[in-house]
Amino acid sequence: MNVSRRDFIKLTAAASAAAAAGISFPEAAQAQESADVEKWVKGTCRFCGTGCGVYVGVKDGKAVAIKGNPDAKTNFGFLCVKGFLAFKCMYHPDRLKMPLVRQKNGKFKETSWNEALDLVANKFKYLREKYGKDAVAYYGSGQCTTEETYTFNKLWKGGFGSNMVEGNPRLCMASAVAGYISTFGSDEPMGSYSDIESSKCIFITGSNMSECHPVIYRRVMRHKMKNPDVKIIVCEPRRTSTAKIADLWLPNDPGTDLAVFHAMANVIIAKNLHNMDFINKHSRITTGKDVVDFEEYKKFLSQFTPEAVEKLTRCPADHIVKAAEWFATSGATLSMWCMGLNQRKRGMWANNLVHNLHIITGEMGKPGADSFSLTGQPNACGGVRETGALSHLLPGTKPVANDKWRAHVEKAWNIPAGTINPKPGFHTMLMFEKLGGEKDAEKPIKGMLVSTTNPAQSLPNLHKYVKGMQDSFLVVLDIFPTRTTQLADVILPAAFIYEKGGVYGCSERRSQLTEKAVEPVGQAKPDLWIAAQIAKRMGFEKLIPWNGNDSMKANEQAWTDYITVTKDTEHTLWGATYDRLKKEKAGIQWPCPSVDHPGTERRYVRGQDPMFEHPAEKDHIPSDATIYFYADAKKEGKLNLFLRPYDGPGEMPDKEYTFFLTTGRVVEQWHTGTMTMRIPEIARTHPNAYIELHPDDAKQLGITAGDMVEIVSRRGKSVMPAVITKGTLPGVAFVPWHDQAMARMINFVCNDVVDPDSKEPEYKVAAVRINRVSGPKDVADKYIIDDVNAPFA
Amino acid sequence: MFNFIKVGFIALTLILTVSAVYADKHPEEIGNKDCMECHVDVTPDAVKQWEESAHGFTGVKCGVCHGDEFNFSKIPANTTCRGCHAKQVENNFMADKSCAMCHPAHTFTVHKQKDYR
Repeated sequence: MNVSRRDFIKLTAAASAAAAAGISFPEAAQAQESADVEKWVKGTCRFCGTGCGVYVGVKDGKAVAIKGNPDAKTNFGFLCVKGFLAFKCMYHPDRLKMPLVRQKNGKFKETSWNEALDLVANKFKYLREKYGKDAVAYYGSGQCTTEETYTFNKLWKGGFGSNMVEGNPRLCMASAVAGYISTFGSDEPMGSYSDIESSKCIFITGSNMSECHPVIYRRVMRHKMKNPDVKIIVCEPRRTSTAKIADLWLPNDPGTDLAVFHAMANVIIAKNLHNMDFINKHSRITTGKDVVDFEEYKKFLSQFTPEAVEKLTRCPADHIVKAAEWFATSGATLSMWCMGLNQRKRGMWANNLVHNLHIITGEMGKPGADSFSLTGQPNACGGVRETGALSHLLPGTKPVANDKWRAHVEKAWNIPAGTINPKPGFHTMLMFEKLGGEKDAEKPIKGMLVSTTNPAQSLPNLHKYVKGMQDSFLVVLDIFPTRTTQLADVILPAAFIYEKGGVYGCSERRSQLTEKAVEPVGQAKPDLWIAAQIAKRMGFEKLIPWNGNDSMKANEQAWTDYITVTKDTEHTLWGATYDRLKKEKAGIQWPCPSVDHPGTERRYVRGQDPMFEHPAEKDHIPSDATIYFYADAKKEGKLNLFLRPYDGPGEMPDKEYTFFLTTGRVVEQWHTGTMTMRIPEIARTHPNAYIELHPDDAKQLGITAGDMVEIVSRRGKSVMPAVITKGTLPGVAFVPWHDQAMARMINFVCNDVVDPDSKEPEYKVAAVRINRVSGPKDVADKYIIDDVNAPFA
Repeated sequence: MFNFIKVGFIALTLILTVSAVYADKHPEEIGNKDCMECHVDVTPDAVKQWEESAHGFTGVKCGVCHGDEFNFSKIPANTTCRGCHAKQVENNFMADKSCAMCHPAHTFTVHKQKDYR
């Protein structure tokens, strides 16, 4: 019997179908039930900003399974492949299990915790004494727990008197923060995910949510399936998998969408589809400096005709008109965006202009209508934004430069007035630019503690920043060897989220508690313990007293300390006590001012937002106001409707660098792949980076599928295989950024120009040259750094 | 008639034998390939069904349910389904049966949670 390979697969597929119909398979063998799990422990997913509720299955003291939490208001039990398989990376042999200190020969040596912590504390003390209080920086992550981030922030700002505190949310969410604060006066969205199911039009821009927020996308998809009349508009340079359910695609060249948003506003007003009553009642039209009237705004917009914008952006004029009509007339329009708007030289403006569309149409403050920023990381909102762990902020997302708030925080922390520096520290890109060795007089930052992030792979224009990390005293807290541990002096093995517990706050202002499910592997420790031990050794035990070994108890102490500071703000989580968070199956949305308050689904609306009755706001809110934007800095209860001039990306293609390059994620891989590349089922689906090219471009360059292609920018180059797809505009190339292999690390190529307002770098747009270098090569090597002593090469 | 029964019997035996032997073993080395590289050709109907399903839209790809060549499962275990459909699996009135017995192939009809206790 001669059965070819393909016939064999067909045959077994047929057998499978027959089996599924009930004629052959041993049934019981297929139905293994919960015998594989002894107990289920409540938690939150480790990956994106959706905030999926999970249960971690434990057997014999180990995490052996993860299932979705059906009671969670975020995911209703559904998970994506990353969340579902996360436990598999926890016991990977590469887990860091002991503190490691680099020796004179360049190799790491295992040490005790005492030795490693003493070394770190003494070196930090020495550097601060010799080079000043800002000589040591903290660089954290939207993946640390709120308790951890709050503690490091408190230690640096309240203990060291230094604002050299940053985190990777500067690289992903800073433009959204700046957008919300400049338009609304307060960070984070007005509404909730539940607006998805009430919406009649969903405007998705700068977000490939089917891959980057797949469980939110599932809600959008289900809503569209059940309600085919709901309009889905996708505004993106790429025809992503998200666009599979779209009624309308608004393609545009990367970095040009400011003109598209203005053109939509122009059409809405020209067709008299705007809501003048809402504009008059709830907004202040402003250039950022001067307040102007509606006529001036209208005149400003008139330059953005759909036809003119088509020439500028390649977005078809008739698509702009249709999108504007749907947006304004649906009755409930919801916008959602993510990195495509934030990681831009004018990211804050892009955020402002989406808010503008909601203001002029009055599409907010009611079910299904909101201007909703999706967060990239699981705790960028709760951990870094809300605890104010960026160089210009304090807890409550309020500026360090605010005298009144600084004094309040000093009092709450029981530290002398004047301890907190009123001057912001360096933003992330500047911090890494100014990081270097003791011999380099140009570099004022001599030491850095990096937690739960991998800047030696994730910073744009990477060549520029590697030396600073290498030369400085670099302490890295992580669970696996990474590109950053390769540059470290001390590596401290961290516990995984399910080995320590803690709170994550997701995109919809929802804080959810993860219980500790299992013990950490080896001698790994929670970041919170590490922070508190460093604080103790540096003389700040009174400031950070939660240095015990019981991680959940320490978490509770840190959390209670944090919610005390923000008790009387619009960010209040005063009612979200640790006990309550343990009991709540779906977490709590702030503002939540008391333990009997259910949490807030929609802000700024009387009857829904408790701040209308809160002593901190009540007195200045008119008693007849049903919607009131009480966070307005001018205390007029209004939103800012901005006239932002058009501004393109930091660099445009030219004769030498002829293509736009944009980067992003794929559903299976998380950030730099340090966890997901260690899960076999995931690693295989995207085992290496690749470049997506349009067929017309590929033909012109003589490139066929699989050919190795060189991508060169003014800053660096990468080499990887080509994928030919019509899913992008001609002239626009795309690369996912998870690959750790040096030749395929696309951040060497990306642009580090920053938004002048949010200081977020422009990952999403670079001008590049593309050349074929060879025919296909097998580079599906699932590359990971598995040796801490391997060089950065 | 006898020949027809004989051929039928041999064919059925062959199918069952092949199924039993390869029930949990992928018949080919997968290597570094993505499942779709082959399956768009060899099982185009299954791929099309998947593409048009909720799993297809939300990126629940082959390996999520079927594993890889080292832990391949032709018919996913209920513990796999449980990852996303915990309530449905735990409310399964026929717990000794595989979810896939009633929810065949890749079209995925769904139970509403309200139908359960």
